[in-house]
Amino acid sequence: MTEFALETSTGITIIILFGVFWVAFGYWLGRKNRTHEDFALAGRNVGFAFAAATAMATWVTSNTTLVAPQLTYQFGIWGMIGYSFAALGLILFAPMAKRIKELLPNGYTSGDFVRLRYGNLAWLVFIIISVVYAFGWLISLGMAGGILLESLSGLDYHIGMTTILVICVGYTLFGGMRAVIATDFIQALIIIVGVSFIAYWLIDNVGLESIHSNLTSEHPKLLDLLFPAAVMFLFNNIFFGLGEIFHSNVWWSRALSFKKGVAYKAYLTGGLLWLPIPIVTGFIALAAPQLGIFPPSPDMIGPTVAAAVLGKVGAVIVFIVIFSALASSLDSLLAATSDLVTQDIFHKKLKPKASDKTLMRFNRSCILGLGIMTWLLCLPRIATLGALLNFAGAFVASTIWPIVLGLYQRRLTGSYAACAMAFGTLFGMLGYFVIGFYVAALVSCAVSGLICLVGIMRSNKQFDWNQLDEGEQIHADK
Amino acid sequence: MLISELAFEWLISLALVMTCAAPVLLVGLFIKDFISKTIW
Repeated sequence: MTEFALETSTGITIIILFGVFWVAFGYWLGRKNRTHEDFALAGRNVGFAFAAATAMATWVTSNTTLVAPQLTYQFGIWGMIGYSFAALGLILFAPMAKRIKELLPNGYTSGDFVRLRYGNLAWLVFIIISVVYAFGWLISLGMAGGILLESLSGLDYHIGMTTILVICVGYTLFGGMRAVIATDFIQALIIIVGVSFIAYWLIDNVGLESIHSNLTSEHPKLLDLLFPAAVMFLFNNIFFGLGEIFHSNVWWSRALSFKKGVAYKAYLTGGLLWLPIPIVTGFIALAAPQLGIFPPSPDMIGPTVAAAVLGKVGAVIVFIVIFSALASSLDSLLAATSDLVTQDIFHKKLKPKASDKTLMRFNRSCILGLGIMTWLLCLPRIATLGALLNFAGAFVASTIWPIVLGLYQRRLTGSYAACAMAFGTLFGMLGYFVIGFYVAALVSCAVSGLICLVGIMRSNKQFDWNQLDEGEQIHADK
Repeated sequence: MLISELAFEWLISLALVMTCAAPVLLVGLFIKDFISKTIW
């Protein structure tokens, strides 16, 4: 008998089978990519079904499947409800996605928007924030891959993390956005069915009533509706979620790749589909005390409970679900970040006359480079997933107001937008270190909002929306 | 103030029902797009 829920060989077999399938599928989908627009934005022609699924699946990350149970284990009922409020980000982004598609019909990235709307200084601050966030997320995903394989099958952390990165880089490299979106659809189905199955099994075997009465007598704090740190976490998580989605090119590139008229309803549907998932995954952790499970690291609580209740079957399901969740976010982030580097830095700043073929080649090199850098940064296991994730909150929440006001308000100027993002981030980090991770996004958003308010009150300029449309950017192949 | 047993059961059950409905909706949308040839 092994001390792990899965034999190491079973874990390796699953990952190889899925890996071969995803890479082959990505290669097959990539055959249709003729131009850089095809590769980066799936020809701007994604239909409703794939659009809604990719919005939902990308937001179901390893954090939803590993950190939501971890936070529920630490903060109780508010941990899972607070996490589910991150769906507001997708729901509120729905009208913005429609606006983005109208204002930037030929745009590629969120960086394009910031550069055209606010100028170079704000663009520079925005790019720094975007890159820090993208690497924070990439590292948390890579680490989650290693942790998953290690906790479930005993496979060495470094080998597991490397394998997952290789697979995701592989199919994103071959298929571009088309592969990312199509695999997201299948991964979304796997995630939802797997998570529902585990929760149903838990309810059927342990019982909701039994879990509630055990928590009431042994761990009442986990059911406390007035747990102060948890209530603070709830609000912090709302702003964190808004910041993540509003600024990240992962969501902008999707909005720009959807067919006309699809973006609004796709994000709204994706948000509503995502809303209950953290509650279902978080609930799994609430059964831990009753089952006598106290894992060495809190981010392993979800997989450990599922494996304990369902045995080998549960371990296989958790393995596949988390692998799908990881892949659906990792591929999106690799594609979106490489688009940002290719379009915003290489094309706009270094080689404005680069041909379509050159852009496509550079984009692919970027995906590979990002994969290698992520791998290097994941080698030391630097923090728990939750801590790493919440540190990024200080950065992204500072972008909420500059992005929203930039899309709907003509008076905010570039210098105020740059200050709002820079000082919001600084004060958010101060809050993170002085008070705690659960206030980082709140402080960042509040400071940034205040600076934007002053900026609007003091400005008498009116931005011309037509400046956002750069026209079609076609360069003949040489 | 602790969450009541009834509210707890409702919260988890509702979340589970909503989660189970999601794949049905997604597959339905895919079939619709497939028939009308609007997947891509």
